[in-house]
Parts: sequence; structure tokens; C-alpha cells
Amino acid sequence: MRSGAFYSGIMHAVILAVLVFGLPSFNAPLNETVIPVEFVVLEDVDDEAVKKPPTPEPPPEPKAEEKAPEPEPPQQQAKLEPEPAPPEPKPEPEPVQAEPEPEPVAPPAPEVKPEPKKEVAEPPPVPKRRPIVKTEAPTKKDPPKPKPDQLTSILRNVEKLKDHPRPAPKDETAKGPEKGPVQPRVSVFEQNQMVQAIQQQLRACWRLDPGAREAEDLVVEIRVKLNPDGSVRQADVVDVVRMVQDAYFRSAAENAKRAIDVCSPFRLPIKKYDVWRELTLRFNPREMFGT
Amino acid sequence: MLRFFVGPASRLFALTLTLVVVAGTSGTARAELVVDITRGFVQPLPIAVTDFDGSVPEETNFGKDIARVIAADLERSGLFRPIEQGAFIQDPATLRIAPKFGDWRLINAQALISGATQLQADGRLRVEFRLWDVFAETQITGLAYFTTPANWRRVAHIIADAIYKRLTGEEGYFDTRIVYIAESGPQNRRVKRLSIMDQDGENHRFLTDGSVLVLTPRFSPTTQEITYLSYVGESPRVFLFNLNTGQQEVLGNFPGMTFAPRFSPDGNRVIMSLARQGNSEIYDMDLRTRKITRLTDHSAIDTSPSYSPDGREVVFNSDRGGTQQIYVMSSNGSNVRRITFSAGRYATPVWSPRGDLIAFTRIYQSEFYIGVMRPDGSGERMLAKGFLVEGPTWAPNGRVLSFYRQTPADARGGVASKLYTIDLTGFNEREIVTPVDGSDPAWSPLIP
Repeated sequence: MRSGAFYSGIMHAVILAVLVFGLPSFNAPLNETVIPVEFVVLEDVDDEAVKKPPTPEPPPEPKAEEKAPEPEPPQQQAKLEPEPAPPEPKPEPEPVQAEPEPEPVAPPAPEVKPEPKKEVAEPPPVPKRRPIVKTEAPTKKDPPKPKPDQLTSILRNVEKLKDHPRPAPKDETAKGPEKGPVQPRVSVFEQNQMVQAIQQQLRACWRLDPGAREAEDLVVEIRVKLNPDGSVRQADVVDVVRMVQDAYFRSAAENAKRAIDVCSPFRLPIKKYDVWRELTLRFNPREMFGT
Repeated sequence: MLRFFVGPASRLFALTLTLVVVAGTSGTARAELVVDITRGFVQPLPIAVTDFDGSVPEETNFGKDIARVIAADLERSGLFRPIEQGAFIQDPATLRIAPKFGDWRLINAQALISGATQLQADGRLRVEFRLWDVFAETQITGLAYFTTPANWRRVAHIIADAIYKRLTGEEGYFDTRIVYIAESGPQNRRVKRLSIMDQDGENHRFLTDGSVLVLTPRFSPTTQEITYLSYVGESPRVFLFNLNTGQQEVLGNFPGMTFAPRFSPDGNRVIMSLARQGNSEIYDMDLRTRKITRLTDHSAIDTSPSYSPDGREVVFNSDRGGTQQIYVMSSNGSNVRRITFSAGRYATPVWSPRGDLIAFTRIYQSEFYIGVMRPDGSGERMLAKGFLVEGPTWAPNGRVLSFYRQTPADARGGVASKLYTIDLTGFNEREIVTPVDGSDPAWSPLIP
């Protein structure tokens, strides 16, 4: 009797667990097993390999210098003459007319403008594939390659003085598809392929600023509508309120939108257009900080 | 409807959506893919800075000079990569009508700056600029300024600040100055002069003649005033110096020596160390009433205080724990807590004007480091190192640091000391070229 209630409890718990978490097979981290492969060999994609993301700006390696007795702190400098003399040159005291008044400038007369192509329902003429020219390292004098450990974080540390145990990579990064009504024509595997193709392409286009305040928390969601040729018809930042209120967020959102523009047209299989015609892209830099 | 989650999607959220889908919309639902983008890259934004257009040669020359200064400012920040003008397809004159965005995309520019200069009948110079998003094909911002023509360089910095602010979300820092100690002469007879220059090294001037030793200058965050250490007789004293009037005064008359001064964020107070009989404590002086308040009372050495930008807390260093470490306390001296616990010594902590970081000097195994950490001591990162790197100072936007680096003595006993800037990400270290050696830089606020 008691064991009956016990088993009943167990079974209920199992059913509840299945309801909440789905069948175990659905939650298997499918991506984990397929991550290393680039699925870009799609029929309407040209053979060009997906561009590798540029490495972060290599740090100018500070030269190791010979050691010498520790210099004394500046406060203990030898004293010189007494009596501080007043400084001779006077800095410019005329800030009044120096202060320029900013006034907003209207954009140039619209009639001369080559009609602003505002995206509407109709897809615009297919943009020719833009040359996604890789930008070179910005300064010539910074040639050294980053050390391997820098690849895990976009913030530089010239010396690991503390042993910061790096937290294990979060396992939920590449989760399998949620269970739900599955479209018969697209397999989970194919969806994975498309997701990875989009990730791969944006990786080479998404330029971010890791020095912004709390940059790791600037997660930007953008709803994107694509044309059948992979070009972007519309891209809207979801959190419009924060766009207005938070200048850092706006900048991050504009970087994300620019990434979508630069990556357009996306190279995706036309046969699966129904799956990728509308996307929500969530730009989340947290992992890159290695925190 | 198909929901597809990759990345750190909350399970509960996913479940909720799934249930909604099952319960309600079924037939008409659209397929939608949610894709987490977790990898990008960190590189300067390619930007095209065109010469500002003018109608007469004088205007054109101003336009060229202004564009050059803007491009140099943006480039030095490490966040932008101005494209070589030789690659430009569209010329400034037609650009004044409207940008041909295709031409700019072709050379991979993501942002475009155009502008015009115009000499007014009253002798003033009108400078306008427009910032364009090349891919979105829109004007992002546009402003015009009037100024005396001699002031063109400052207008260029102000425009660079406006562009920087619009594209990064952060206040600019190009319309600022840096004071520092210019050093010349042999090591045993080093002449140290208080000096000032624009943040890009231009408009350099010596403020003192070198007859008196001047050390650790610090800029007021709100006014064109500097506090620094100099000497009265044999005794080091904290001085106040007004850049606009040239007026200089000693702060207070104490029996001991005063040093390590810094302004409070509102510029109304100076916090400093006062040493008597081998023990130094931290004091705060109200500049209007000259009333002083003692903040620490400990047998250990407490020094190098720096206010948080909200004025509520003070970071300082102390050897009360046995070695010289960094502590934070409330601005009334209560609630003292240690935030560094690592080997080595810490010195000259300085709170970022942005509030999110504290910069410091660290001495560890005979090597000096400039580092940053969060105000609770976490996230410590070393940005620069060297035989001697010291004196970190923040740009007013809290994004960039300046410091100085001294080389070890060469065979003839000579040392070189240079000023540098570095981005808080640890990249983009640049030397600020000065006429003679330099140390102890102090960044001004944005010029009012």
C-alpha cells in the first residue's frame, strides 16, 4: 500500500519532469556534437569559405626590461629650493567667444538626395554581394599575435597575477531545439545547420566594443526579416525603450544592426526560406569576456 | 510554429512559449528562428573622414586641417580606423550635395564624416559636420559651430568628441588637456617643470620655470585648477594653482607635511595625506571654508586617497594589514574595508570618473604594473607593465588611462621617462610625444 503510493509519487514526478523539461532525447545538446563542422555547403551558396573572424587587436607586448633596484616613490624626491615661484605663462583666459554654440543641422535638401531607400513591404533591389573586406590590424606597430589565453577574453591582462579559476563554460550555450510542433519539412539537424550558418556569418561581421560600461550585459535582440535572396528587408531592435534611454545600449544595438547590414545578404538555403525568413538574432557578448 | 533556442535561453521561458504555442495559435503561426550570436570581433570601426569643403582657399585649408585633427583624434582612441583619403571615390564638393553610399561601401567605410567651413562676414568661422551611417544610408547626426578662426583646432576636438559620443555612447575626451611634470637634465640635477598640453600633445607650455620642485599635479574635475605638491622651505606642501588666473596658494598651515592631494568630484574639496612623526593620515579640506576633517586614525601609513565619482566613498592605500594594500571607506572615514589581497604592493589608487573601475599601480617581483579592478576588488587586470610605470590618471570619460613609464638607467646613468595612454580594455597603448621627458600626467575635465 505504502509502496504503491511511493511508486505512484515517483511516476507522477517523472511525468511532471517530462512535461517541464521535455523528453530527454529532445534536450540532448545536439549542437555540442556538431559544433566543429562548418555547414556552409548549401546549394545556393558559393564555395567561398566562411570568413574566419579577425583576431582581436594584438597587444603591443611590453618589453621585459632588466631589473634594477626599485626606484623610490615620487613623494620622496630630493628637495630643491624653497619658495614656490608663481608660474610664468598664463593659460588662455578667453573662453567666452571660444565656446562654439552647437546648432543642429538639417540633412541636405531631400531633392538632391538619391531617393532614400526606406525599406517597406516590397523587397528592395537585391544588393549585390558587398565585398566584405577584412579590416587589417589597425596599427602597423602591433604585429604580435595574441596569446592563446587571450582568445577566451576580449579584455587584456598583461599578467596573470591572481589565479582566477576560469568558470567552466556554460553548457546551455548550444542547446538543442525545444520540443514543440515540428515542421515536417525541416529536420532538427537542418535547423542546426542554419543556425550555425547564421552564427558563422555574423561572427565575421559583428564588431563590438568591449570597453563600454558593463559591456558584457549589453545583450541586443533584433528581429530580422529576410528576402529570399538572403538580403535584409527589415531589422528592428526589440528593446526600443532602452534604445532611447541608454546610450551604451544604443551604441551596442547600432553595432549589432551594422553587423546585420554588413553580413547582408546571408547565405542560406533558399529551399528552407520558410524557416529563416524571420529571425530573432540575440547578440550576447558575455561569453567572450570569459566571465 | 517552431521555436529554436540556442545559447543561454531560459528553459522556463522556452517552456512558456511552447505551451502558448500548443494552447493557442497553431495553423497560422509563423516559423521563427531565434539565434544567439555569441562571437564577434574587436576592431576599430572603419570610418571615412573627408576634408571639410570650403568655397575659397582659406576655407578649404581650414577644412583640411580640421578633418586631419578629427581623424587623428578618432584614430588615437583605438576605436576607429580612418580610411586613407587616397582611397576615397567621392569628392568633398559632390559629397556636400549628398553621399553616394555605394562609393563608401566599396571602400569598406561603415561611417562617413562630411563637413563644410565658411568664413562669416563678422570674421567668425562656421564649421558644420555630418555623420553618416553608410550601410543604413542615413545621417546619424549633424551640428554646426561658430568660432574665431584661430580656434579651429578646438572646434575639431569638439566635433571629434561629438562623433565619438554618438558612436560609442560615451562622452568624448578629445577637448581636454593634460598637465604633467616635464623633466630635463641629468638624474642628479633633474629640472622638473609643471607643464600643460592638449591631450594630443599640441599647444604645449611650461607653467613653472623649474626653480622649485613640483610633483603629483592633479586636475580639478570641475574647474581649471590644479592641486600639486611643492615645497615650503624644507617641507612638502599641497598647493592650489588656478590655470586661468595663474594664482597659486598653499593649502593650509599644518605642523607636518602634506602630500598626495586630489580633488573631490565636485571640485570643492581636496583630500590629501598629512604626515606627523612618521605617521600619515587622510584629511579632507573644504576649499571654501578651509575647514579640515580627519578621515583615518590608525598607526599605519594611510595615503593616496581618491574619491568615488559620487563622492560617497574614498579609496586609499594603507599598510595596516602588513603590506601596502588598497582600502575603501565611506567619505566620513567609517566602514573601512580592504579590497586587495594579493602578493606585492599597491599604490596610487584612482577611482574612474565612470565609477566602475579603480586604477592603481602594483609592484610585484620588482616589476611595476598599471592595473584596474572593480571597486569591490574583483576583476583585477593588469594593463601595462614595466621597470617603472606609475601615476595612472583617467580621461574624464573613464575610458582611457594615462600614466608614465621610466626606463632603467643606461650605462651613463641616464633614464628616459615618457607619457602613455591606454584603453581600459588593455589595448591601444600610445605614447604622448612631449618636448622633453615627462612624468605624473593628470587629465583635465572636458574644457568648459
